[in-house]
Amino acid sequence: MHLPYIVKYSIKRIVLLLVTAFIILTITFFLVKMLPDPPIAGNEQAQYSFCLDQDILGYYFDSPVELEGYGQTMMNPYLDPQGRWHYFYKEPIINQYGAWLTNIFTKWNWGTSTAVEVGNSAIGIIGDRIQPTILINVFALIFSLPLGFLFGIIAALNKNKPLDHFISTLVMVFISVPSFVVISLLLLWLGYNGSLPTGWPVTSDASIGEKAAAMVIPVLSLMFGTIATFTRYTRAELCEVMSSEFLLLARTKGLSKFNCIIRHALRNSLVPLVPMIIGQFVGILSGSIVLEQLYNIPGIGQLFIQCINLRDYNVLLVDMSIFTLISLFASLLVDLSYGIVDPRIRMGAKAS
Amino acid sequence: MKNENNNEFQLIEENVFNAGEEASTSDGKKISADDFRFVQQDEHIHDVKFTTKPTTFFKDAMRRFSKNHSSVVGGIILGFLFILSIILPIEGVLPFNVDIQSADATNLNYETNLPPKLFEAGTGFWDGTRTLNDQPYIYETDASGNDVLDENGERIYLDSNPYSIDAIVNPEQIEPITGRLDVLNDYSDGGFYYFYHNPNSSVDSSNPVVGGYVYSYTYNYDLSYDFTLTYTLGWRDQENFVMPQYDILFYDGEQFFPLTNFTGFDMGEQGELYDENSTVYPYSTITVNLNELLLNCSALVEKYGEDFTSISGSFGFTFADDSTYYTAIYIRDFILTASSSEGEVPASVEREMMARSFVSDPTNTTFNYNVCDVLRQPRINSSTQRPNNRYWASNGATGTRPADALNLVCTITYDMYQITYGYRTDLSAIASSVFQSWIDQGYIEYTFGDPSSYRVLGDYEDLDEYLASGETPVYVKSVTGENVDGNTVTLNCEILAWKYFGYTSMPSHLLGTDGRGRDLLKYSFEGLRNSLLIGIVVAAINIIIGVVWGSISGYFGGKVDLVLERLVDILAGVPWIVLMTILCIKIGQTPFVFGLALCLTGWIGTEAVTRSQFYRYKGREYVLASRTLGARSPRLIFRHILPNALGTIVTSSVLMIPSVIFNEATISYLGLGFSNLGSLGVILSENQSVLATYPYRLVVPAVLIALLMICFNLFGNGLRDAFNPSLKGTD
Repeated sequence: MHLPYIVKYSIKRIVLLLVTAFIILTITFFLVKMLPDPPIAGNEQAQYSFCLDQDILGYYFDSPVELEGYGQTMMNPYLDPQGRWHYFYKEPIINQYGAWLTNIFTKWNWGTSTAVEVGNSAIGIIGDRIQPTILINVFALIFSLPLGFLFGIIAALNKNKPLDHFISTLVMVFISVPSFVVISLLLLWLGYNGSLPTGWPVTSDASIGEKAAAMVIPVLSLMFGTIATFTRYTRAELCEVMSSEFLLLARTKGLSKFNCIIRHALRNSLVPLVPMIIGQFVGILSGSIVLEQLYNIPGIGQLFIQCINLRDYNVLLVDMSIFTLISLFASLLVDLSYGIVDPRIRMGAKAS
Repeated sequence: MKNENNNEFQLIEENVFNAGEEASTSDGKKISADDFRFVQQDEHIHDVKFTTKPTTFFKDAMRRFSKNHSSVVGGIILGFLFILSIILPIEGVLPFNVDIQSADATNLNYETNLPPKLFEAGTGFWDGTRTLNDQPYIYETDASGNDVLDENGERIYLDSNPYSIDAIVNPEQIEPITGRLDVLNDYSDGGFYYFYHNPNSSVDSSNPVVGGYVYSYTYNYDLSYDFTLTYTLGWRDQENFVMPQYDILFYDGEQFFPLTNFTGFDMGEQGELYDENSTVYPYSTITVNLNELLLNCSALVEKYGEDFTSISGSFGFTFADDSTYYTAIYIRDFILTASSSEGEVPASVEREMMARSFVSDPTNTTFNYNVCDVLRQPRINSSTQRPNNRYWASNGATGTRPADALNLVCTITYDMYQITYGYRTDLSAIASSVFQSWIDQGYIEYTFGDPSSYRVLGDYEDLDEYLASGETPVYVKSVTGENVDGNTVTLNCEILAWKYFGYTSMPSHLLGTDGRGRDLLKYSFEGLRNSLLIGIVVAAINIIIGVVWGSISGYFGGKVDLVLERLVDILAGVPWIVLMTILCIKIGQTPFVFGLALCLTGWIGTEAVTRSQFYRYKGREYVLASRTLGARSPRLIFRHILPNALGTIVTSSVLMIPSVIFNEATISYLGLGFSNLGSLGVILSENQSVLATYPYRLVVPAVLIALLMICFNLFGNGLRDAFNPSLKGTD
């Protein structure tokens, strides 16, 4: 069977990606399991049922008698309704790892939350929390893209003129200033001294207007850095294309400057920018951890901090997996998109 | 012969063109060799010495760098910041600096949270003043309760803060009160209202004494709409405390109309609130139909006639006084909503209804109140977060309001430095030994046990004389004794605070002070110093690891490279912040772990650069030549290949410092870092919670870190351009 090159390459990369993700998650699992366990939540009944559940899932094992020299007893002994005593012990980490993999691959069970939302499935919590994160990031990207391109084009067309210097200075400033500084200052000026809300709507029944108002500051604060990055890349690319020989030829042949820019320069300069947009999406996704924490947005970034502070390891593992997978997939997409937007580039091809 | 001619043609270009023109003329004039001559024929150009001196790579880069003005400016500012971060934190450079540990902060909140001051107070900009909005406007009244007017016919403002100097009251800014329970926005919770009972009044259970009122905006209620009042009341969950009886009132501007006569209502939807100390406050939410209540009130019907269609006034509560307890009612919500059976309610009506606010009773001149100043929901700290439960914070002040000042508020600017460091009355500011010496000297007659036998002799004259003699602390201006209770005496001393604090002059903080009284200028630069230290040390470690790893990987190549690169891939794949947190939880938040976490993946960039440089140069002929001559690997690496990568490494190390500082600040900002370090990130994170009240505390370190980042990036980019001119402009 003869597959097109791009398909073969993609399959190879995806397999590699899954292997890398698997290794990373394995390492993370062992690291996390080495951390001290938090106390089990709830009353004795809840603790007992939790332990029983863990026993069924294969993380604990249940002994009718107290074992000597087998690590630490997990909890106090529990008396079941039949009058039997249960002593729960942690399985060795390697056994837990096996159980973890079995649960994921056979039942798609990533464990339940122990602290953040006690009793809910970890994967379900992620499902709930990922929506605001994606929403904010997509909005930030949608608004940033045209502005970034616009400023970049303006700067490139006015290269080394005052307007270009002005834009370049602003770009420098906004790329350098840490995101949490931007967020804080925006909160101060638009939130506390302005009229915009200073936090995400607490109630779920907030009206669309309230939700939209609450989204202004987070989206704005993500936009500044993104616009600056887009502007910088667009300017650099366009400048390079503008000084290329084929454009000189086009001008020499009598094409107007406007036509030159629109038909030749801009199109060619967009080629390397497409992969960058994908990369930027991941960039702001990870940058929104601080934002979510400060603005109290119930997204996966805030969840991450909550999991760490409350020691909710099951949710932490899923959350980390999401972040890992997103960044791995992004790098894959970036590489693939190079080949798609510009067929001359063949990623991974052997040098002839 | 032809070749020679060609030579000539090249040497004397100007004649070529002349000759060419002549040649092209139609008269067919021949061009002969004589028409040409050699330029510089007699000059020995090959002997001319170079006037420039031979230069090194670094000198050359330096010259290119100095042409880049923005980078030079960045470098200079960076240098300034470096020097300041070393000088300013030195003990004694900034003399006015205290560090009140948290335990003392509640007792001695004197020098904390001072605003930045550069100019004299009253100039309106950077002058160490704080402007407080919505302060009760209190003006002077005579004994019969009438206003005392000044020569302009204006009422005279009574400063509620006796220590404030330069209280700037702008009468035009006085406006009707728009809410004492401050801004009840969508993210706020309510606050406590205290209704103290009057111990002198007799309590008759059949006729409860009214303790006080709260009530809403005055508004013209068009009764063709249905008005609903939804209110949530909470109370302390303590033994023997019962929810007091309360009544809903209507106040039409002239008199109060009780609508329910303390019958109370069903408790409605109940729930629990928490405060920071996890104290439980049960509450219940009650909804009543106001139209019904209004139309059923006989007193209103008597005044306005039956079936009135509109009425102007405001709604409120009053509580039956309870002789046993202070009636501390937690009012969480007080929401008036309008609805209509026929279609939608106009936006104007809706908007008015949204203004949820409370005003204290203007007719009651004696009741004490405690109002929450800021009712904004506190930012939820993830460690204390209780999901789905909101809790409140109160920092209300207690006081007594005069009667008719209630409907007015004003904006007052206080000179915070005078309040803090000027003359202030302070209880027990005199040491007991000093007081004893005054008794010994005979200036004060004093006997324990009987209040009447305590007095300051001679109408303070003797004491003043004594004070003037210089034997007392210089800061005491006057002393008044009061409140002799059993065997304790409390003295009121008017003291000059800056002398009392032990300063040699009136302190002035250029950037203000933080919540612990630390001078923000000094503290910020201390943080900058620590951040720079972390940045430089960590960057150095990263560079060393990266260069070593990259050299080995790049030089040996093959299987070594493959294994090392896969290790790097995995390390780069694990989210960095995850590794960092796991280390912090596992080993603890120590400086070592913190440094380790920052070094964990930071070197990967340098490694990649070094590796690619090695791949580029290791196959060059000069390396081969050296190897043929017998050079071993270390010599090849360190003498022949690595120097080529030096420019790139220098650039990446300069650009790495800001990224390390940035990472450190991000972790610290999220509260995961090493909080004892006092870096810029820690300072920012400490001051984040007071963003609304003391914004300058955040702005100062924020601007500092932004400036640092910008300068480092400018400087680093300039260096990169200088070392790698081919990269210039690509950014």
